[in-house]
Amino acid sequence: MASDVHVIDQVEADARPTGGPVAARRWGPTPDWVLGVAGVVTMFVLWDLVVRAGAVSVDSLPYPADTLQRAGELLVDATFLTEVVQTLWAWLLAMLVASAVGIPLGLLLGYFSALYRPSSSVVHAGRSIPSSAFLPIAILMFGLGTQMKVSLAIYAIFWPILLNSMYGVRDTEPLMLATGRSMGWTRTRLLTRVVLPSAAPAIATGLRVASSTALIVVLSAELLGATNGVGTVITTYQQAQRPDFVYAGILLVGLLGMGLYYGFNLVERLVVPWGQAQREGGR
Amino acid sequence: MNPVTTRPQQPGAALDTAVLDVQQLSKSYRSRKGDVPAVRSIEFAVHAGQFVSVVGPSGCGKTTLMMCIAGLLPISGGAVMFRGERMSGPRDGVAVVFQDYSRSLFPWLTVEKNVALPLRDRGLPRAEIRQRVQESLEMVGLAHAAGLHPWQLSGGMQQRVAIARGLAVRPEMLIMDEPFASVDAQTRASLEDLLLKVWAETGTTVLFVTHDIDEAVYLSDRVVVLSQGPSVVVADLPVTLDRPRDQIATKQTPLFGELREHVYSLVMASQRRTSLSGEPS
Repeated sequence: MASDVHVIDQVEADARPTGGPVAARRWGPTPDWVLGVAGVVTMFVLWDLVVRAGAVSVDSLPYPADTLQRAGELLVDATFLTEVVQTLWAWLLAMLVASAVGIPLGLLLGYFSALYRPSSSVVHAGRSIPSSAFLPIAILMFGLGTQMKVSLAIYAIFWPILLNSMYGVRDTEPLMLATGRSMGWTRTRLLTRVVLPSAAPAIATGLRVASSTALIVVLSAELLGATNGVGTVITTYQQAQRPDFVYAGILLVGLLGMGLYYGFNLVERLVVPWGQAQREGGR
Repeated sequence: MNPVTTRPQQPGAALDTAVLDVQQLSKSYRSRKGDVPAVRSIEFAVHAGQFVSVVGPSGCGKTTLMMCIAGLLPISGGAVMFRGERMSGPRDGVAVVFQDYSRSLFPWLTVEKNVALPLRDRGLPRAEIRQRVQESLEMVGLAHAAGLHPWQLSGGMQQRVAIARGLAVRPEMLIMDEPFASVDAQTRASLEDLLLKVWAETGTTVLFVTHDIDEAVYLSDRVVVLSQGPSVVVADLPVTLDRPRDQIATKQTPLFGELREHVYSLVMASQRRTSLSGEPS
């Protein structure tokens, strides 16, 4: 499938008298954010049409305009904002703990070949267990508070962070190591000057993946019974039969996730620009 | 066919000691079925200021030989002597330029910092480092690109950065492993001439590994021809073409044609021998 697409590209590029395949594939000068906004607007229009057409009852899915209005109300509601802070706090704790353990451990397991093989089987087993499997145990151990949410999120994001750090180290270009050795670098210098910087883009990717997973797990835990956070607000409105507020909450959570994603993307581009460049120029 | 020349052959060169003396070097790789020889009993010397190329059929162990000489691979037998001392690992005074510049330059550092890397642990004052980096970049015509990152440059420019990094330490010997194999023909020709210019300016000794016979003859004072692997030296030919050399004029001289043909027939002969008997005699 992929190769078919490639062949078509080639043919088009060859048929063009000037301009390469890049010029052929360009969308034109439209900036990315305009396209992003266009996507959001389209979604709202479709949503409105679906409800207007009566395909879904207004009790199950309110009008987008009403939802947006409720979202606006929630945004100035101090109790709601406190719960947002609670959710973000749990997210942050999970990210900090999982990174503090996952990154160094991943670097260690990736660096020493003797540890890599035995550990990778454990890692692959561990990461295929969904964190929700531990929900009952977590509730028994930590109750319904922040600790429970954080512990579940840590379990869920520990693996992608660990794996990406391991792979980042494993994928260190041997020729870069040879280059370092030809300059007489010791093992410590090779580690700090070659291995760590070349693992950094992979670690950043791991953190970006982990950031959205952590948010999902924290929210799930809140929806399933935790006592604080945005998820509990949504459940409360659900019990109060206010679908407009429920959807407004969901919308804001989506917004939060989007913000985190773009935030991480931006940081990644600023801190490890070579990762992006290699992905684009490498193959 | 010309007789196979043995060393030493350069008039005058035999008088001073060799910068590099490769003695009976052999290298085997361990595998489950036992040791697999890659090079065996390689012997040649390089004298100060010489430009020596090593050519051989592809897969003859040129890169292995280069890595052994640079001290990046442990050798299985024989010795590599640098200035009369046995080499046991990478050492000061020897700089290496690899074929794959995109994997040998560090993408997280600017051009300037890449070139400064080999100078970092030598206790040099900052000003001195900056000046040497500037100097090396000027030599390869990239002073304007100092602040850019390698991935913002073309392939030919990246390889010039790698050469500048090699030059920054003012090496006694520059080892180059097929440095121009990954660039297009025009870039290659201009990089060859750039290298000859830099070599003439710095007087550094160059050991140049390549599979390209024209390139070897065009650049070198001597061409060492290797057989198919496990390789041995089948010839060590002096190249007496006039310098400075010119991409068109030099390559049109009858002597260039003869040398080229001679090296070509040696490489082909060693290849044929192996494909018939499986083992060069």
